[in-house]
Amino acid sequence: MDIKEYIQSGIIEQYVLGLADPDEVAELQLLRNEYPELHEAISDFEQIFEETIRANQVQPPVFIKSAVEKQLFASTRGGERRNCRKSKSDKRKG
Amino acid sequence: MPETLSYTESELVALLKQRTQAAFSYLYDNYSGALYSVVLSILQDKELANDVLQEVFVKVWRQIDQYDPGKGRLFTWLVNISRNASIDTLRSKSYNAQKQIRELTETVYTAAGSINTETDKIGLRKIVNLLKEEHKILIELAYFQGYTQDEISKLLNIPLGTVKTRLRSALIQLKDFLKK
Repeated sequence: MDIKEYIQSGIIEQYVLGLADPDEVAELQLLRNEYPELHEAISDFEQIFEETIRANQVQPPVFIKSAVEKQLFASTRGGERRNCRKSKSDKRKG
Repeated sequence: MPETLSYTESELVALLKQRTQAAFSYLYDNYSGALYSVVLSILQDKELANDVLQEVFVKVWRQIDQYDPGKGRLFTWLVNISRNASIDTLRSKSYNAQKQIRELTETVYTAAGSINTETDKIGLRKIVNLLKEEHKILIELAYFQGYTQDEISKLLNIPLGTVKTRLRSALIQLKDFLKK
């Protein structure tokens, strides 16, 4: 395995963006433990990706935060505990 | 609201696992703008994006124990959850019904002026638009519409091997633009 070639093949970008097939992901995971330079290259791209997304961020409408908080914290005093029954009440489908 | 506290990703993950409202608040304040741009760039519809963003934060809250730092940054994980939720919505029936209505209205608007110029500037789309057409199409189908490489091969009627090579070279180009 020529790891330098692998690093430059585009697989890292594909992996970070969530576009790699399961077998490609599995291979990368294996290699990542074996080659520190691969691990580093992945981290570097993740950093660049984060900076780009953050630089282009869009603020959501203010009501969203309180709407989610209501959903997560309003029901019981102790906040949400994994409540399986409640999770079905997704309102989107309508 | 001045935010003086600043946590590293691993500190934030530990706080989220304690499930305090303060941890949620910090997560939301520091990530919602980025995640909203991801959702919006895929759905290109504010109403839908508002719903999906709420869904994303609920999901993150419930699934934080599944986050594995060995597989990548928290940020990457959050973006992927946002992208997946958006694509699920894109594929849902209610979306398609709304889309038909929207397209009808759009036809009216496009005749009068610009409509797509605005959504083209959202998040990653802004950068993807700098790519040449052949690369843009692959990223559009793979990233923004969620098709697998196999599906793209069938959709465009080109061999899977070609799709793989082209997608990779599209991503290498994209990376060069991201660095700028």
